[in-house]
Amino acid sequence: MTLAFSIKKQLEHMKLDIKMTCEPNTLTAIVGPSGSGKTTLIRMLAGLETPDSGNISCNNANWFSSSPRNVTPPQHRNAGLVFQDYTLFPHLTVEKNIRFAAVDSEQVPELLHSFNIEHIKNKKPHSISGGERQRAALCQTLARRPVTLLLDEPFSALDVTTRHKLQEMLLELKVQLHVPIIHVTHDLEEATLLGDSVVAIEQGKISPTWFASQLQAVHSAHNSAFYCEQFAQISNAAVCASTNRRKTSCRH
Amino acid sequence: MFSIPLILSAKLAFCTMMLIPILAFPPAYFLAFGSCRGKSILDALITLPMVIPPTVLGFGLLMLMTPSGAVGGAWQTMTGSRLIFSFSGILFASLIFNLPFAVQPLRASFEKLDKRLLESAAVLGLSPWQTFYRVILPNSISGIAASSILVFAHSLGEFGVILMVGGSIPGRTQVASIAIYEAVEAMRFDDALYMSATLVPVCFFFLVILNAINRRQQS
Repeated sequence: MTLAFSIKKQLEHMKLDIKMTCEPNTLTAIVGPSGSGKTTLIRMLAGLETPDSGNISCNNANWFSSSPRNVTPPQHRNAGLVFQDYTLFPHLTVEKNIRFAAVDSEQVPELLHSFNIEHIKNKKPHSISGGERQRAALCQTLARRPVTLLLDEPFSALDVTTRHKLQEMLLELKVQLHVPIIHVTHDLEEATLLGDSVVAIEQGKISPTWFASQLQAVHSAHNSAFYCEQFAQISNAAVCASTNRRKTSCRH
Repeated sequence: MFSIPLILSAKLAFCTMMLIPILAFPPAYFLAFGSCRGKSILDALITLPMVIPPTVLGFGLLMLMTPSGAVGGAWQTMTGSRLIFSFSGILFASLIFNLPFAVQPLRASFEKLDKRLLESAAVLGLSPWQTFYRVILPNSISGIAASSILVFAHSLGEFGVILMVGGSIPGRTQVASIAIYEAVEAMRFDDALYMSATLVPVCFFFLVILNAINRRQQS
């Protein structure tokens, strides 16, 4: 399954103009400062917002095209979306939240086990921790067997230890899922750690794709204060560690 | 004798409370989530019974509910009986009169919902109708309860509109508020006191519950 899109949208203060292709089994990390349009991009891919023009397709299914006009509603895209904040249904227990979305309800106990949330399956979302909520949200999303996984800063509200555990879990999932994953974050360290490729949104356009080997070069080439500041926070060790896992599977 | 108007009031309040969701949910949903020009006009139309004098509303309904009126004519064609001066007639009037009292709490409750839950439901494949009954309704229970209690308590005290469209036919349309008025006019103060003393604590009880629900909703 390949997710390909070329979309334009006029935002309040800039025009978003993005073209990308994401291959299965790869995680494309998209970084950018607040207000750069990252979340809008994810929302357009999920069908929650409509681009002004362009097209979005996933594995030959046309989700959006401006000419001829075709908009597939979010209900029929089967895209998995995990929001920045937890959006489990508050009136349901963790297990019922997952059953709510599950394609195959017999699969639910196995999912609860693999996400290590069996012990909280009868609890309501408000009575569990942030990390557990986000694990449950990820589990709920995957229970629907989505054709692509869209992550909108899913770990930003978590403490460092929980974030690292979930990052590890995501790395394992990436191998198992066989779907393209787009991970939006403002944290470049997280992007380089998780992403097979990293792109940045700046002034509504995406930067050239950064593969691990290029990260250092991009660092020195970029004049943006944001990236200089971000890169300054990343130790060489973190970049080098992620270098070994890179694949050149996402191109734009 | 004075228990019959009280029972009739309770019956009217209960029937109104049970039927009004059918009328109130669609406008409440549209006012909370809709985004078109007609929204403010619909809002004003729904709220109108709250601000115009009950006699004016009653007169308007009377015109509609007579056998030559649109609603009364259709009712007579369907059932063979007159809508005016009947229990069905005062129930219809009660539904119209109580509509803003049902719509406003429901609308407030819908508007308080986290919009991302609705988006999440859409991404998980739920149709708008499925989202309504599987996500919106279960998460608006306190709003629905508040709306029901407000309608029930308000129905118990209806006077002007009921008098206009139902008259005061004992056992059929003479509800407690009208019976109290007539008892006072006839100097039967004991009857008036008995009925009033029954209505006040019942309404007070429902308002205490309503406040508790509102407090819970706010927290």
